[in-house]
Parts: sequence; structure tokens; C-alpha cells
Amino acid sequence: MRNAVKQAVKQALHQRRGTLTGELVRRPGGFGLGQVPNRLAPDSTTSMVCGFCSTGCSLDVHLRNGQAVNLTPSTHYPVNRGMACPKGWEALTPLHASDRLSTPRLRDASGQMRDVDWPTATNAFVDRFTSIQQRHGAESVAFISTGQIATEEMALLGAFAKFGMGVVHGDGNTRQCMATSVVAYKQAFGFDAPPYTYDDFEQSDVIVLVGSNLCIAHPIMWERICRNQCSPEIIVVDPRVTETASAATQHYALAPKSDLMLMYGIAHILVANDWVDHEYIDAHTSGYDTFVAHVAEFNPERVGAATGLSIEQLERFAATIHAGKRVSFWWTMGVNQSHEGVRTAQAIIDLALMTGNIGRPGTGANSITGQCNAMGSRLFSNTTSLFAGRDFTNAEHRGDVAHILGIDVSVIPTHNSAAYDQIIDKILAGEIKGLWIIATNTAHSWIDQKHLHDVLERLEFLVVQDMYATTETAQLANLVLPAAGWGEKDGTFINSERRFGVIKRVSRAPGMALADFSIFKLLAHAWGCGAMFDEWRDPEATLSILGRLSKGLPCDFTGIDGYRSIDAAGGIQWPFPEGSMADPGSERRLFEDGQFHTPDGRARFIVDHPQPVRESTSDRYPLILLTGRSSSAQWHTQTRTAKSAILRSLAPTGSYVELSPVDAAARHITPHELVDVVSARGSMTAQAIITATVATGQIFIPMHDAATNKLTCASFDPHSRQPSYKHSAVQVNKR
Amino acid sequence: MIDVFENDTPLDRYLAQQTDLTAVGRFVRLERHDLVPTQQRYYRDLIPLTKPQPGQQYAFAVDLDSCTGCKSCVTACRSLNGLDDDEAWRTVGLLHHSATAAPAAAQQHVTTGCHHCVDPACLNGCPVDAYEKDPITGIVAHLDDQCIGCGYCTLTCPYEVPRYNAKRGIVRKCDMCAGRLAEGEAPACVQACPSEAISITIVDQATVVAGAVRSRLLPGAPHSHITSPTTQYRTTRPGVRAMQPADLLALRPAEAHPPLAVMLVLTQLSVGAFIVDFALQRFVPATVERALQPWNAGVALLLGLVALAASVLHLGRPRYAYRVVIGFRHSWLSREAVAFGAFAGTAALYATALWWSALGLRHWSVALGAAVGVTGLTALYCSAKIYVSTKRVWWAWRFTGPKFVLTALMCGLSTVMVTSAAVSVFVGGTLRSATASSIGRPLCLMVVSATMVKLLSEAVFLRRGLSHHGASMGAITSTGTTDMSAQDLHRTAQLLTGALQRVTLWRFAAGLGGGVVLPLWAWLLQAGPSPRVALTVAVGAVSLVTLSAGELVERYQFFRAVSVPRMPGPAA
Repeated sequence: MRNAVKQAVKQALHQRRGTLTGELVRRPGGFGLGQVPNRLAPDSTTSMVCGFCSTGCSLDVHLRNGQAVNLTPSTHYPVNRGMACPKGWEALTPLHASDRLSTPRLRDASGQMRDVDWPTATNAFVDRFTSIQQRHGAESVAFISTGQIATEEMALLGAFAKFGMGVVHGDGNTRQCMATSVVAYKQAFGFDAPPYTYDDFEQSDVIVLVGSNLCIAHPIMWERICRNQCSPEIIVVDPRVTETASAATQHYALAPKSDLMLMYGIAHILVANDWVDHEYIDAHTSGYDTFVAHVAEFNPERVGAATGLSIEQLERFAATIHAGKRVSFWWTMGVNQSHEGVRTAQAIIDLALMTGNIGRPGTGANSITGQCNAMGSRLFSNTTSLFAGRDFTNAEHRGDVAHILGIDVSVIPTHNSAAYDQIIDKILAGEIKGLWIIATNTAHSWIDQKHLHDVLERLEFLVVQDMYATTETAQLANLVLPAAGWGEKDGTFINSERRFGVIKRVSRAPGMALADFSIFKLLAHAWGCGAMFDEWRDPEATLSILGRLSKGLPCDFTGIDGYRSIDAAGGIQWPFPEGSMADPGSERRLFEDGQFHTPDGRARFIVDHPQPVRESTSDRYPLILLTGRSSSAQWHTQTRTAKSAILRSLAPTGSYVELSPVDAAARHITPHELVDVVSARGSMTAQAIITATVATGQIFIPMHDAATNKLTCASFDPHSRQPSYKHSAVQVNKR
Repeated sequence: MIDVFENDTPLDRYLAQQTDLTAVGRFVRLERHDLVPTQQRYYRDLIPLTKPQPGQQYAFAVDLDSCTGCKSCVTACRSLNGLDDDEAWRTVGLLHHSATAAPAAAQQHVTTGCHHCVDPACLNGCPVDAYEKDPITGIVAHLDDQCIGCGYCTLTCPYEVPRYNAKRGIVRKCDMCAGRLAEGEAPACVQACPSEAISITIVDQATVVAGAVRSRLLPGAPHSHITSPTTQYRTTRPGVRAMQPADLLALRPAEAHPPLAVMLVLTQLSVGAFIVDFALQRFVPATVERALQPWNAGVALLLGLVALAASVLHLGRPRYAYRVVIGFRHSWLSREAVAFGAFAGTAALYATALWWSALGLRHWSVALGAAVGVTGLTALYCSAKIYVSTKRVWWAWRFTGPKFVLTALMCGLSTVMVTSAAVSVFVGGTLRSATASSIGRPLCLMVVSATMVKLLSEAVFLRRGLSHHGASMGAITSTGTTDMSAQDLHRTAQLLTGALQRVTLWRFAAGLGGGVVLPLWAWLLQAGPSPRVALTVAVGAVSLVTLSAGELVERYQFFRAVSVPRMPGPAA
């Protein structure tokens, strides 16, 4: 009794344990996880690839009664090796956002959005789109696909839209990120085939990153560089002193959009010093002589003047490449989102070819992809190219596809789809009246928003399929279809290094929300062409159809035997043809035999003359606007990452613009003051961040800000139709 | 998949599929009994193999060359520790150059967590001993169930480490994942850093203390001598020491603490009123004094008790308020609580003695009154010390001391003046004119003088603070105290005239109205042989309320405009 009293007094005065302490108790979680929060300890785990970017990290999802409660990065996965960026850590959080769509919504006659049931929604979809097609022709309905849904889903979408609905024009949001690389690879290698495996990051002794802020955009690829044991020279080519530039051993802060010049200038020096691999060039390439003649014009003086780099810098750059035994070249959006991105990417490919840096460990001309399934979209979205990298205009290809799918060849369009920007032009011209947008946020991400909004208003019927009713695009829609998200459905993604990874259902979608795959099936049924997709029973059955479509092509993955085999192998890279003796989980690179996919088996040197940007700076708009990512806690238009409180806390609190101390002083702008940024197209208000990371004459605004694309100038690469987000003329004014 | 929905529509099938989570069973890895963390292969070299020796402790080491600002450490801390949606015990800030052209590396991200200080200010300030520094590991841990949610540690820690958790009414903080370290596992942030920038190391505490004398962890960080933080920031980049925090010039008002503002002003009013009233005995006729004193003491006691109630309301877990005395040996908050307890006790006795002469305590009243004064002043001193000891520049003695004393004086004088006038009206007779001439008029003038002094000093501060403009733009990297102090005061002045400008205007308006204009009017009303006492009471009451409101606003600004020491933060 006395002890009890003593204990109670002690507890009242100095309480060491109790419910509050209990909330933070950790205990061994089993499953090789080490300690986990007691209240979130799993009863089983499963791994799946992340649904944000193209790195394709694997995450171990902690389950309780089949429901995801937490996650940790997978230790053994060959991609991320136990690590994840903040988005990956928070991948489950956006699923539980309060603004999830739980039912279809249809705009009524008064303009109000009303919840409706699925039959009403699918009927509206069919009635409105068929009505438009009857009045304006089959081509008057178009769709915008995405790199954010599973390969099987985007394939079903492409098949249903093009073969079932008779749609011709369908493009993807991958136009905004990867189109340039696709064209560059197709022309140079004969197939859209990024040749690398992430192991190359660890094997290189020289790593050249062009227009790529890896530390922020792909932190886990940067992790792989950190694990490189060869003390590599890391060269960063970027106008800004990015995080990656700060971490590099050499940074070349070239003038914006002078990268094509720079690559030719480097090639010029390599040729001049005969720092080239003649043996490789002779055996495996074509067009080298034309290339040499072309780069002869790009002497260091000219290139120095155009890029703002000194001749010593150019020579050091070239000498570093020459000194390297295993040089890898990597590029991302700085190159892709350019008015001459294709040629720039090909100039980078040229550097790799001329120095024989391809097909060996630690080498390659390597495009780093953006979205989690941009690579799936490139092969199987059935938009720009017919399934598995085929050509709509090629009768033989159409015949093959019709045969494999058991469909009438006449349902396959015989001409190519308009690109994203051309679809918008066609809406403006009144040729397209109905648009279906799936899992992308056009009304934030597309270039020159004011123009885009004017155009979208001309649509008779806009359908948006998304997880949230609150995206900028969903708010414009006539019909919104509620989609299940990553973690609520099955399928595969293909990552940057061509690796298939599996996604699984570990959480229940809200209300009536359905997997995109089910929505497409439902719509096909309502459209009356459901029978065409009887064999597309579920995502896994669809994967085997896609496998058949890939047979005999460079992306042949007929050796993949369902989701379980991918899961067991830790992801499988294509190609993986039936009967392949390779270890499915091994890290494999392309072109080790020097054989490319061109008709003559040789890689092509491709060159062109550098072109001026569409909008040069002027007295009125004297500054160049650069755009890009601001933090690794944000994803694109933030429809998902903004749903996580912790990711929000890691992101900037509002609009901001980075400008140089010189430009700030000239405008009497003080740190953190609100300023107006104006272009010929629009304006935005932003907090001024004065920093030496941007050069004088340039400013930087993150793309995650919805206002940014009010400023951007709609200019496109003529070969890839990819928008050039990273060069617009603007002015910054004190308010 | 077995199709059990054969007769249903496709929609029914798809909706049913959507809720079926058993599909995952096809993949589940059954390694439940695998208790060895697989992740160990990456972090084995990032944690010490041995326990610290006597005089040593664990510390975070951050390789700045490797920290690229991916912020995985922050999210991992949340997920692996089961924290709230918006809670993490690590933050990532940024150092950059904003004034000069870019050198090779123009920016440096900085991951920062608890520094597990040798001399932790959170622990020293805690009134309930809810902090413990482990004698072996040196880890500074928080006892969540002991915490009463006073939030004082959020003011004493110069690194913004303890965070108040409103949902639970307590603070929570990093424990360096002590339980993980004990089992040979790495803390969450160490496990999760893709570039292995964070590790655990063992440091000699004496070396840390010696090194903390004239240094900071990073440019713009608080002086290390305050707490001797143990985190080891390492860099080979020469430029980093010349950078400045990206948020150096960002002006963010600090958290407001309304209950504390009320508590401070009213306790000061109460103490001031007691002392004024006590002092009056020497200057006014005994008859007058005898009539007024019980009332004055009663009003002062009442307001003092309201103030102490407000202070309890400020706690996240008021029902554990009694624990507040536990930290008496080291916490000024405990000492304040004890001192105010003593003050309230003696004040109650004093008032009792004055009111009920039958109790025979009347002849003790002088001694009791003196005791009230002494305990009150002691409590006031402790109050000030609470803020002074945070080492925040604008809360230093030279600012806080005069503020608190003048508030006590102004409000005390005003209270006694009004109460006296009111009592004289109530009692009537000759007391009216006697009170007006011997108490009312002199006190009015004293209120005006004290208020003028306070308002003037505040205006001068703003003028001087703003003129230190040059201090804001350069000289940040110097380790000298003066630069940073000027910087802090400049920031305070900027906040007061910028984001908080409207509040500042109200403060001066209320001060001038309640402390100058209205008291002068009351002074005029009480002139001559037949003072207009009734109107004086009305004017005086309005004056007292306005004056107190002005002081409340001033105290609100005291919290909001202080420059909070912190580690480098993000740019935007």
C-alpha cells in the first residue's frame, strides 16, 4: 500500500512513461526492417516501384491486413539500393487526401458539377463524343495520355481510343519531357533505346551531365554516382549553379540554349587533337565524315563567344573526355525542353560515338527520363508510334499489330497523330471539338497558359480522368472520371534504364473510384467495342499481349512471365526475349556488340546548324527566364505532393523568383521583397530570392508554380514538337 | 482470378476488384522472422562500434560536401518514427551567396536536427525536468508524459529543435533514435541519406565546450557558447564559411503567445499597484490611506490572480501545472512560479489583514505589505529572467528590464489612481477632495511621465534599429557579437515597422491615449477645491483600460518581433 502511494506520487511528480511516450515507441518490425514505429508495425510486406519519377525505385510497403500503413525503400532492389527521395517516402500519403474524387462528376446545363453514377458518366462520354464525331468526323475527338499510369493501362487506352473509338489524334504528356530523346534515339540508333543501366553511374571515370540537376530531380541516381568508387570527374553543363553543379568537379555555366554550339565546339577540339576512336567509328557508325566537316566550323573562338565560356574551359572539357576511359554522357530536361533539343541530344550522342564511349560499362549517351512510366508510354501508349515502336504509316506494321491483336486492320489509323501542340492548334482551328485528358494537368503544365485556356474554352466536351477534382484541368472539365491511384491498382512501369517494375493494390480507392484499366474497359463496353478487348482481361493478361507485340523488336520482352517473375527478379530490363540466358535481375546495357537498330546496323552521326531561339531578349524583356525543379519534395504540378503536409513543409511557401545580385541591385530590389515578373504573354507576382546561383541576365522560377507558364513562350523543337520551357524573355519589376 | 461475379455487370466486377486487397498475397515476402535489418549493409560504417567513454558522447556528423538538399532525411524521420503528418525532427536549410558574383560553389544545403548539446538549454530551462541528458550516450531526450506543455524550451533552444505539438499539448523532439543505436541500428536520418552525409560519431565533451567559445556551427547560426552543440559539420569547400543563410533577411514574425502577454502585463500591473499603494502610506494622510488601502489591495490582488490563471491557461496540459516547481534549481520558469506563488500568498494575507481588522492582523500590515513588495519584485525579476536567459538580443536585460518595470509602474499608478478615485466617490465627503489632491493628481502626472519615458524609448529603438541598415547587408560571417546583435535588432525594428506596422501604430496610439492624454484630462478634472471626481473615475477607468491594452499590444510585439536565433533556413 505504501509502495503504491509512493509510486503514485512519483508518477504524479515525474512521469517517465505513459500514453504519450507510448505513441513514439519503436520495436523490431521483422521482415528485415529493423525497428519500426510500434503502432505501424506490419503483419506482412510487399515491394513495388514508386509512382513518381522514372528512376523506378522500389518501396517495401508495410501492410496490415493487406492495407498499406507505412513504407521504406527496398534494400536489395538494384535501382535504389535502400534509398528513396522524399516523394517516395511519402508515396502513400496522397492516396488519403480529402479532395480525392470518389464518384464521377458531370457538369449540368447550368454549369454546375454534379456527382453522377458510373452508367450516367459512361453514357455521357459515349453520347457526347459520338455526337461530336458524327457531326465533325472521327478525328474531331482527341486524347492526351500520360506517363503516370501503368503500361497496361496506357496500352488499353491507346487501343480503345484508336482502334475502338476511331480517334486518330492522341498524344501524351511525355511530349513535354521525353519526345526529344525519342526522336534523337530513333534517328541515331534506329530505335528509341536508351542504352544504359544505372550501374554505369558507378563504373564511369568521367560523368558528363548536360541540363540535368540530378541532385534535385533524380536524387537516387545521384546516390548511384556517390557510390562510384573511381573518383570520377563530374562535369555539369548548366546555366545555373545548381545543387548538382555545386557538387560537380567541373561546372560549365554556358549561356542558355548554347548547348548545341558547345557540343560541336567540344567535338571540334576532339577532332583537332585526334582524340577520337577511329576503330569504333569505322566499325560501328556512319556519317562521320560529314560530321567532321560540320564541326570544323565550330572553332573554340566562335564557340567561346556563343557560350560565354573561355577557350581554356572548352579545352579542359574536351581534355577531360579524352582522358576518361569510361565516359558517360547524361542529359535531361535542359536538353529535351529546347527549340533544338533533338539536335543537341544527337550532338551528345555524337560525342559518345566518336570517342567510342558506348556499349561498355560506364559509358553511353544516356537520356534520363522524367515520369515513372514515360518509358512505357514511349513504347506502348499507341500515340506517336504504333505499339512497341512501330509506325502507323507502315502497312506491314499495321498488319502485324492487327494479326497479333486479332483485330481488323482497317481500324488502325494509317496516318500519324498530331502532336500535343498540334492538337491544341486543331482545337483552335475548330477541327477538334472533344478532348479526353488522362492523368495529366494540362491547365498547369502546358506552355503559354493564357493561350491554352483560350483554346480549351472552345471545346464542346472535355473529359478529365484523375484522382482529384481539384487539379487545374479537372476544374475545367465537363465530365470528370474518378481514378484509383498508384497503390490502388495493378500494373507495371518501365523506368529510365528500361526496367519493368510492378505496382500493386495495397490500398482501397475511395468510393466509386476505379483503376484506369477498369475505366477504359467500362468505356469500351459502353462504346460497344468491348468485345475487341476481351483478351485484355486484366492488367497481367494485357502485359502478355504487349509481350507478343514486342516479339522480334529491340524491346522484345517475351521472356517475362507475368508479374511474379518481375517481382522475384527485382525488376527486369528490356530486351528480355523468350529463352534469354541472361539473369533477369542483372543490370544490362545495350549495344555491347556494336550492333545498332538501323538498317545497316550502324549508329548515325547527325548534325544540323544551330538555330536562334524564338524569343530573344529585348529592351522591354531583357532577362531570360529559366524554369525547372525547385525541390525534390515536389512533383510536377503538385497535384499529389501538395497533399502531404511534410512535403509541403519542404517546398517553398509561395511563388518565388531567383535573380542575380547584379540584376537585383539594378532594380533596387531587396531580398524577399515581392516583385512582378512579366513577359509578353502574362505576369506573376513572386518573392525575390537574390542569389549568385543564377547568372546576371537570367532568372529562375520553378515549374511547380501554376503561374510560371503564364510567362513561358510557346516554342517547339521542329523534330520532336517538344516545348521549349527553358527560354523566355521576361522583365522583373519592383512593385 | 476466380470470377465469382459472373452474373454481375462489368461495373460491379470492377468495383469489387477495387476493394480486394488480397491480390497482394501473390507477392508477399514471408520473412517475418528476419529481425536483422537488411539496411545495415549501408549504414554499418556510419555509426560507432563502441559506446562513448566517460567525458564523451554521441553526436551527429554532417558531411556538407555530400549534402545535396534532397531532404530524404526529413521524410524518413517522420516515417520511421511514426510522427504526425507535418512533423519531423530534421530540417534542411540553405547557405548561399547573395551579394557577390558566384564562386565555384554558390550554394550549400544544410541538414540539421537536434545538436544534443553538452549544455542543453532546453533541459536547463525546463520547469518540470522533462528533459534528460543520458549520462553515457549524451543524448538529450524528452519525457513526453512529464511535459506540461509550457513551451519554454521552444524559447530557450537557440536551434528551434523542440517543437510544440498542439494536438497533444506537449513538445516532442529528436532522441537520436536512441533505441535504434542501442541495438546497433542507425537513426532514421542516417539510414535514409542517399549520399551518406549524416553519421553518428563520438565526441569529447570538453573539446566541444572549448571549441564553442567563439564559434558558430555554420554562418548565421547562433553562438555555440550558449549550449555547446555537438553536431560536427564538416566541409572541404573553402567557400562555405563565407556564405550566408538564404533566409537571413527573410522577415517572419515569431509566434505570438497571447496568454503570456496577458499574464506578464497583469502580473506587472498587480505588483506595481501593490507597491504604489504601499509607498503611498508615506505621503498621504493616514485617514485617506486607511480608507483606500483595502480597496487598492483588493483590486491588485484580483487582477494578479487573473494573471496567474492566464498563465495556467497557456499550458498545453494545465492539469499538471503543479509540476512547474520541480525545476526550481535551474529553471527560471520554476522560480517565477514559486515567486508568484509567494507573492499571491502574501498578497492575499495582506489584503485579508487590511479588510478584516477584527482578525488582528492590521498591525502586521506594514510587514506584510513589505513582503508583498519583495516577493512581487522577485517574481518580476524571475519573469524578466525567463526571457533574458534565452539570449535573444531583443529580450536582453537592457530591453526587458525597463519594459517590465515601466509597465508595472504605469499600470500600477493608473490602477491605484482609478481605484482611489472610485472609492472616494463611493465613500463621499471630504475623502473626495483629499484623494484628488493627494493621490489623484500626482499619480496622473507620474503615469504621464512613466508612459512618456517608455514610449520615447520604444520610438528611439525603432529609429536606431532601422538606421542599422548597413548591418543587414554584410559582415554576417564575422564571429563578433556586435554584428549579429545589430542584425537581430535591425530585424526586430523592420518587423515592427513592416509586417507588424499596424500593430505598432495601435501600440503607440493606445499608449499616448491611455498614458498621456486621458491621465492629463483626469489631472485637469481633479484640479481646484471641487474636483469633478465622478467624471475622473470614468476617464481614469478608460485611461487604465487603454493603457493596459497598449501594454498588452507592446507585449504581443515583444513575442512577435523578436529575432529568433535559428539554423540556416530555406530561401523561400
